[in-house]
Amino acid sequence: MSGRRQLSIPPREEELVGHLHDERVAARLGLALGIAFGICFLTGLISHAIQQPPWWFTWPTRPVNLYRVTQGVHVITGIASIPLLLAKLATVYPRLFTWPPVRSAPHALERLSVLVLVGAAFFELITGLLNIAHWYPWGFFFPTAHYAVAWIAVGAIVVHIAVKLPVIRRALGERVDDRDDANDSPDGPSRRLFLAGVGAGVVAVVVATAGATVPWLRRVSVLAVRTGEGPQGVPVNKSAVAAGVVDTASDSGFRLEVAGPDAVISLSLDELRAMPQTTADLPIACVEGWSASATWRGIRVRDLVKRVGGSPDQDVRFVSLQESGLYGQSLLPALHARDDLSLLALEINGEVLDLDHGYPCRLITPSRPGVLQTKWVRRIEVVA
Amino acid sequence: MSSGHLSAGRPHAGRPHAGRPSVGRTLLASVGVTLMAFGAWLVVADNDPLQVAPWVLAPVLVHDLLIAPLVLGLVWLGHRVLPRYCQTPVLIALVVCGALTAVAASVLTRAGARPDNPSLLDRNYVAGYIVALALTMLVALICVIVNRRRTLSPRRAS
Repeated sequence: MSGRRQLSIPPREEELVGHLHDERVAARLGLALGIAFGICFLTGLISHAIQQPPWWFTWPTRPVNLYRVTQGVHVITGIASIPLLLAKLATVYPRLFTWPPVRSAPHALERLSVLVLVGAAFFELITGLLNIAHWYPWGFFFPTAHYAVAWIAVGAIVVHIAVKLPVIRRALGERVDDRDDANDSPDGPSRRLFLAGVGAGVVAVVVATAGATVPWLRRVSVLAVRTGEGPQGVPVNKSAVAAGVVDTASDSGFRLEVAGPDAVISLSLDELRAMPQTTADLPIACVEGWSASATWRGIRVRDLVKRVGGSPDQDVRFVSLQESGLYGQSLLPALHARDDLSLLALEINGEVLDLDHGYPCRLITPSRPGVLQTKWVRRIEVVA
Repeated sequence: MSSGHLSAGRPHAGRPHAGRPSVGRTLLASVGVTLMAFGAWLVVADNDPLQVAPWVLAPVLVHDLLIAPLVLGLVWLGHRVLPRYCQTPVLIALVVCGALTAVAASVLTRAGARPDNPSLLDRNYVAGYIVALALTMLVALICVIVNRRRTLSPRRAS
């Protein structure tokens, strides 16, 4: 009990949590947070660009797991940022009560930018976390809001770095603990061990959730939104019931329409089964960060395109029986449409597709987000 | 290295940054402001800002007025009442349990569960959460016991 110094009530800024309120701690947490947000932002931009490609953007077809990795990293870095952000705010919390609250116009702007930074960062992490759990308690459209506020968050981080650069340089250049208190600080936990604790928190939340996309973590990821189980061994994002396609998709008179420059043909399920079939091992990788590998079997997209006189340089549109929602159709770029592994799948893991996996036929292509792997396809159009 | 404050750590310097900002820093700040302006434009152009704004501001208020004082109060209390050999393990356990709780909140409620999709939210999250917290506390307890032995051993006694 000796060596404990006298603490005042209410605590003064420097003694609220002993010496953890320290710029050396804040700078190191800030660095980790900056890296995590940076990776999260870039992988988010990639996902956004694949779904709404600008004219200059192309996304490769190989490796087939590429999108699975970028989007898995997006969600994992986002989740890792949660303990980092909370710890960072804890170390700088007393600064909230700086006196006087505003010293000058630039100081007021700086404080405003910090408010925007914290608000935007919370917004991104909370909306992202709730989105992967399919919980939408808000009145905005998640993808556009999450995308817009991401720019604000990253801009505010850049401003914050510019403002704090001298402090960051100084703080990172110094040892995190004074030499004499590295292990047995008279004031309680050392800063190094506090940082180690935050690191342990990051590892804990990543291990607890990453099983949704990292197969060997499935058993220990006790907080993952999905175990990786589902009909025919693969999870489902939107069921046939939710898409409102149960009757139309199970109609025995189903016919697939394929439209190209030379012809518009209509194919029954038997006629589709009679065409040359190809087998491909491809992941289904959802924007929500979960993914699962499966063996798919069906007709190559390029064979269907050829059948109606389309060329390998043309994009192909897939229209679903699903009439509601934004994801009732998708545009497959020519690069993917002519790929050996892009299939209109009829089977998954050796069985006829489950209704929830897109029966009678669905699109499956390498390295693309799940929302663009259109299910319950009723029409394919070669786009001029 | 120690700044002569009561605490061994140096608190955040509350003083203004010395000197004029360099050209590099000014440029960096302008890049940041441009990115922020683009984001703000996207919020207004593609979204309903009145729906978005509360979800930006409310978490800050909840954190600053409720969560932070509560957690930091706990830490401060622990610092005052706990013997020294407990402090680090308890602080680290608090950080890890806090992180797990923040992440678990969205699945514990099962608010997104749908009867037509059993592959979604298909774990027993309450059990998983309790086991994760219990494991964390167990590790902390072991550390406390080890620390206590070390503290009480004659070699270290003061």
